[in-house]
Amino acid sequence: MTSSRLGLLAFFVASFAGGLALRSAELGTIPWAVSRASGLAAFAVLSASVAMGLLISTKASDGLMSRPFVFQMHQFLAVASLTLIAVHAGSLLFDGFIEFTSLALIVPFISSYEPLAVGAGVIAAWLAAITTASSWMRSRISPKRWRKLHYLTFLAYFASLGHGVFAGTDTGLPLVYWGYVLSAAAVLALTTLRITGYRAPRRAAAKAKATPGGHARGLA
Amino acid sequence: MAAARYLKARLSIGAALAASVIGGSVYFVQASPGSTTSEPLEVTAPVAPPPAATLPIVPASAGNTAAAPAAPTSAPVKPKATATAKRSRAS
Repeated sequence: MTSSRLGLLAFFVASFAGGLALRSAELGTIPWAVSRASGLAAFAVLSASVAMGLLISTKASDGLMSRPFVFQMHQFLAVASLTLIAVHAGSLLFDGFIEFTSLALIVPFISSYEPLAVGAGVIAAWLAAITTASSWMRSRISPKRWRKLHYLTFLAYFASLGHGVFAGTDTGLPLVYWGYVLSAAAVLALTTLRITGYRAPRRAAAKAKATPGGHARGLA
Repeated sequence: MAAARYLKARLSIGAALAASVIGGSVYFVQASPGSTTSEPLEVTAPVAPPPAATLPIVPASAGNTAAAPAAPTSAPVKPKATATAKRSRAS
């Protein structure tokens, strides 16, 4: 495991431990506010990561952004979404109103508050972690297995969407509501392109111009 | 060059995300100043003021002396047994 991944893992563990240690602190509405803000940001970043991944597979961003750049952003946004999910869940440990237990943040459907919606969020978090970890271990697993694991991203996205809509405090806000709608529309549109096997016309022309043994244009 | 561009993009996005989370948290805290939704609401029933002691008003007229009952000013006090009374019983 690289040092950056070890550092990231250490950050998660330290954050969780620090959260457990500071549970007795009286923080008022701050934990709840941090949870809301980080939850919304996590969903936005997860949506962007899923969209980037679909842009890669459909090659729809060719000509607009270089594919390596999109790939780099896709990976970075996936890790960023995991970080924000950790902040979102960790801040709930401080909340004195609902009083989530550590177990309720890890095991789905045992929360006293909105068990189904919160459980969907827990499942989404686990699936996001699994898919990201599978990408880190891509060289150690077969491409077929990696692809099957990566399809779990769709389930993670829709579970997080359901979690945000039904358990989120701010769903009634127009900005948040339309954010959910636009995100779902974008992901569904790109997924439809992916399923139908859409390929951008530019890509077909570039492929035709590619040399027999060389690389097609647009690849770095 | 590409690595530097990617790093710059990551740093920019990371900074934007951190700013959005901090800014959003501040906004949400300010939007709920009384902690109305985070802390449990303590609803206390209003304490009813004690009823004002009202005394029946007895008009000061000669022919109305038996109409209004006399309000007892104090409870009758049972006379305590005195040493004198006890000694008188014994003898």
